[in-house]
Amino acid sequence: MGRERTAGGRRRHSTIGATQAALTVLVVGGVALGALLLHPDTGLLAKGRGPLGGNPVLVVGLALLSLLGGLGLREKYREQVGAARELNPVEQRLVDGVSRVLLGAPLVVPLLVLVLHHFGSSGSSHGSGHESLPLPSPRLDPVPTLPPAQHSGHAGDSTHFGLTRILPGLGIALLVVVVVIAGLHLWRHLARPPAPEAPAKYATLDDEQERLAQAVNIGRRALLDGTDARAAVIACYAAMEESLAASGVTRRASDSPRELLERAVAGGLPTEAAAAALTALFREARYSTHPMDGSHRGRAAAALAEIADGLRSRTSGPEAVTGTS
Amino acid sequence: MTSPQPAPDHDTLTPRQAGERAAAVLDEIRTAVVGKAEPLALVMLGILAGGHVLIEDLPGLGKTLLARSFATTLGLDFRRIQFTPDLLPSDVTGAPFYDQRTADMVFRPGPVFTHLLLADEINRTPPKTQAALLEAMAESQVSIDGSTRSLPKPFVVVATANPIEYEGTYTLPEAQLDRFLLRVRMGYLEASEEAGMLRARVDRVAPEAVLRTLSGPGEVLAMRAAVERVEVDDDLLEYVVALVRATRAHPHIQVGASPRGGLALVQLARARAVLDLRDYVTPEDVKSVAVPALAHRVTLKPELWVRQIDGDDVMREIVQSVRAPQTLPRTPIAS
Repeated sequence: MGRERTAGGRRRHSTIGATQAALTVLVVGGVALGALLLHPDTGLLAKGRGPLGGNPVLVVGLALLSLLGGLGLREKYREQVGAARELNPVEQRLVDGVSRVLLGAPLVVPLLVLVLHHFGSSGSSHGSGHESLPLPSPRLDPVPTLPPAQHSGHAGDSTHFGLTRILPGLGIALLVVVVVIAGLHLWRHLARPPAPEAPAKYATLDDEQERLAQAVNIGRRALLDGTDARAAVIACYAAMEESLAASGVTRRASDSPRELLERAVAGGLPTEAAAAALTALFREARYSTHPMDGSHRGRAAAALAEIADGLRSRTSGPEAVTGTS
Repeated sequence: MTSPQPAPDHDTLTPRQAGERAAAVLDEIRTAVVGKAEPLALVMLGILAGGHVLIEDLPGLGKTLLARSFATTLGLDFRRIQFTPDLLPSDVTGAPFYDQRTADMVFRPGPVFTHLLLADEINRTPPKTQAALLEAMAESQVSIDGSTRSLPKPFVVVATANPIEYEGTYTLPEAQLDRFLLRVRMGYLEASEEAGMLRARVDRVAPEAVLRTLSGPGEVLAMRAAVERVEVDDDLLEYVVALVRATRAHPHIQVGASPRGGLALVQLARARAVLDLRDYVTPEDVKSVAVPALAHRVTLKPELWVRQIDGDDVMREIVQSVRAPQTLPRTPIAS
């Protein structure tokens, strides 16, 4: 129960986290693209040119990049969300909405960038994108200025000109860093397997415990209900095999009972003597016609109980360690 | 080397009793043959299972000592034939000669008329002489001049062959190889064992250890009879068949094991059970003797010779790939 609740909470967190990350990258990336390629201080539908808008090849390239990136992002998002089953209605609506946005955005953003961009003939020569502003031209200025004043004014202009070149550059760099960080974060989030490693350990250990208990129960039921001691001994050995499989030592198709025992001992089986005794009993019950009676059944039961205790203690050991870490 | 011992009552032996006596024989032999626990056990299995043993390995590894030690400890007559290119069939089986006193043709038995025959370097003699041994091995009898003479019981051939030399040797044909119940490889000793062997030689002053005779021909036959009382589950017989058939389907094998190979595998597995003091065979018994019982019966494809892959390697792979009997029997066994 607790495991299910934990898994459900983890899944919900994963879905919402993926949605948030996808939307964040979409918004930051879209705004950055618009700011860099379009005119930053005019209306939404006004054609213009941003700081990187001077080079038409760069504009087209970035538009294509955003298209491909958006499509890739959508694909990854669908994979990630598709792996998480059983979404509740709120999560489902959220996922549907983001899927639609992620479908439309990769097409719309590059389209708008290309449509709204002002592909001017002179833009390529300057590259700064400020040619539409009426900058004062020294050749058009009819009034000559004094050399000192001219000198001081030229210094102020060059400072202003330097700042106007440095600040957009810094802004661009900052935006690129933000987009890259957001993209990396999203990629890590989407590339992460649906079930994180540490909780999976809990689930596996729970399964092992269940299988172990089930195997031991099968053996004990066989000991209790039937009158056939031979069948009971064989069932006990089968239960031991199940227990070993639950603890990680699975019988191979070509394995003989002794080979399985040797591999289990090599794997750190804590109750070697009991396992050897049960293996010997099994071989006699399985491959001979010797009469089997209650004493065989009793010895098999005792050996199985000892093995189950040993395996249970070994299995619960790592769980406790994991639980504290 | 031999010291007489009172013959115990060995009319009938249970598999457990036979196993205990075989274990005692092996313990005695281990005082003379240092190391080689598994080859010694395999030769013992061959004797218990009523077959002949081919020991294939390099010279100087103690093959002759091993054969002679078994003969001494088991109380069996022992003869040795050094096979050479000029050895004739009559040198093996014996031949009639004219007795001037009685004016009759009298048969003089060859060295094959013994309990334990050591056929040393059997691949050094031509096929005609090898074939003379064939009937003796298969039928425990020889036919000379139209009359058939039975060999003493038990009759065991322990043959040795040098697998490295090709000059002046005649490779045993598949039909003759098939007559050997198992092939044993001795192998070199571990360094510590080799040092122990040298120390033992220095300490005992004599070239060879003196062994006690612990058994006799009658008891060997009783032990063989005990092997026949070992039961084999149907699932294990199917497992044996699966192993044999796997040799016929393996891509590296040109000619697989014969049905005689299956019989040999079953008998050796029963003998292994006796040696483990059991009267029933387990999958471990079958697996432990599958390579010695079948590897010399398969013919590998020629290209494998270049890749230094031999029959033992292929058989090991087969044993590790064929499905062993499952835990739960298909048909319930009544208590």
